[in-house]
Amino acid sequence: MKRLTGVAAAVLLGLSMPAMADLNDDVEALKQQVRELQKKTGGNHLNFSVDYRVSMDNIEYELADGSTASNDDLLANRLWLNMGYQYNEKLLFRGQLAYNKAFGDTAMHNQRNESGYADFDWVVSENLDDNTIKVKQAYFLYLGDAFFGNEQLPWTFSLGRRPSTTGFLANHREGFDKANSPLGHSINVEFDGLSLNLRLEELTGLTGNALKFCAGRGLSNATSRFSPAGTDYAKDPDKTDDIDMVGIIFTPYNDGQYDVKLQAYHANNMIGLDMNDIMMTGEQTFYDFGDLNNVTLSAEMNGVGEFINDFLDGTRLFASVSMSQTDPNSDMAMLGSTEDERGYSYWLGVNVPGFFDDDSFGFEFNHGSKYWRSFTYGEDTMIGSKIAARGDAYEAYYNLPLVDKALTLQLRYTYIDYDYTGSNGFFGNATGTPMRIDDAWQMAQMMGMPPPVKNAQDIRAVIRYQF
Amino acid sequence: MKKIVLVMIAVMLSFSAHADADKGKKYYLKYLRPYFEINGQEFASEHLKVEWKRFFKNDGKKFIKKFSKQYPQAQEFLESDTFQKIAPDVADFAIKYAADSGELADCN
Repeated sequence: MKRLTGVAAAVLLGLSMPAMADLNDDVEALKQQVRELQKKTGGNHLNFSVDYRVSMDNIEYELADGSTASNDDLLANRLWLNMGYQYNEKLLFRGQLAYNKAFGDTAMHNQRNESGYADFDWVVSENLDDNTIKVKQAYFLYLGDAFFGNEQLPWTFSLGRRPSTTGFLANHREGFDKANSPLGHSINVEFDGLSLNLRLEELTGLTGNALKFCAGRGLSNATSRFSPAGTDYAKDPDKTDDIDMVGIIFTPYNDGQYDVKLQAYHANNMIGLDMNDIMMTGEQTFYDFGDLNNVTLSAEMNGVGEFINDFLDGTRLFASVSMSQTDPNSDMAMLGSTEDERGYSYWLGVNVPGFFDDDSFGFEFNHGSKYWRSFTYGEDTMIGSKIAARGDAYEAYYNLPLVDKALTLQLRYTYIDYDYTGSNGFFGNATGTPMRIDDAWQMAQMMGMPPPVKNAQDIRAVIRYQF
Repeated sequence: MKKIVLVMIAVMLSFSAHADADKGKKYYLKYLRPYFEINGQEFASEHLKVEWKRFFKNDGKKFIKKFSKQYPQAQEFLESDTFQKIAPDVADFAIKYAADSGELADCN
């Protein structure tokens, strides 16, 4: 019939059969050109997308002496400008510019306090700061077919400022479908480095089996440009050493429903403040205290059973355990101890469908032990990282799309009950030393210092626009 | 109290189905990837949005025909009831990450 139609058309147009064939070829060529053009304008050229939100937090800290510190209406706005350029099917670039600040005046003026460590590189886009745009992500990604010629080993390599916040499991509370790279239980900071991911499933036959190597630098020791000695960017022996980190993320199995990940890393030259130094000089100087090791195992079930009903199909359950271990330099009291100290943490969560098409409820609980130390300074919680808590943290949230997924609302409640001090500190013996809250309060009274925080809560409302 | 709990469970279990790209990704990984042997992004970016929409029209007849021919080992599954259950979600996933969608490959 098709051929008859072609013949009829040829007769009607007065074309010979070879001419008709040429016409068909031309049409095919034109379709191919249009297709290529559509791909280029859609997926292969510079793309921008926006993620903008306004949040209001009602926060309250209960201190050890029974007093409170609070802010009933902390208003803030955050803008992420995402960009990407795909040079070809193998090579792409991604970037993300970020702006994150409280409403109104900036931290530079005396209406508010100094920014403190809010501009520290690991969290510079995550904390409320001044009215400037920072680079949160900038990296390129190469997608390879065969690692060293082995076609059973597809690979990817990326280098640059990493998408290292809101990782696996931490993405649900933020309302992100996709998780970024490191496991959110132990790493949630901005980071510069590289990764090499090998997809092993063809080799091993295990669905989703993959191994990723990661490395990066968390701090560079270098003198500044135009130094008086003329040794620009040379290492400065009077400052803390480079902080480097190496690690692996092993995915033994991921079939889309069941996803298991194991992460291990080693980080050296962890910085912190020394209490004796502060007492003697009054200055807060960073020193290298030692190294930190971590192992984390996280698992998620995306859907309970198979096609039982939509509620169970859309239910996610997850559990994660993590262990940190310090390795202090000689004579340095890392986390207040000159011994190797282990800290533990576990984290449980559930995310269930709500009453409409795309809304959902989530509940999470996590617990950290006395010496637990995570790299979660960039976690998106106004009262400090709940994952870092040396104690118990409870969280409940509700995500509601208002206009498709373009405009969404989130209501969230976070409560942290601290057993020990220093949950959000660094690695030295001033900010990281764990003390029972009551003991810390007794010591604070003797030294005329303010009482430590006993518990903290944050009621948050967020309205977010994405396109 | 017991009645309230039962009503709540009944309400939760009776939600209307809706297509979901995230679910589609899960179903692709679990059910189709073992046959197609390419990751979800490679799969979705094989076609334009308009092409995926055409493939998944009329209970995915064109999709079943095309991919059964391309991957004969998948034919039985593609003609099964299970595929019909997951097809709307897989369609949403494929359209979301289509070649002309502007969505970039996953960093994996």
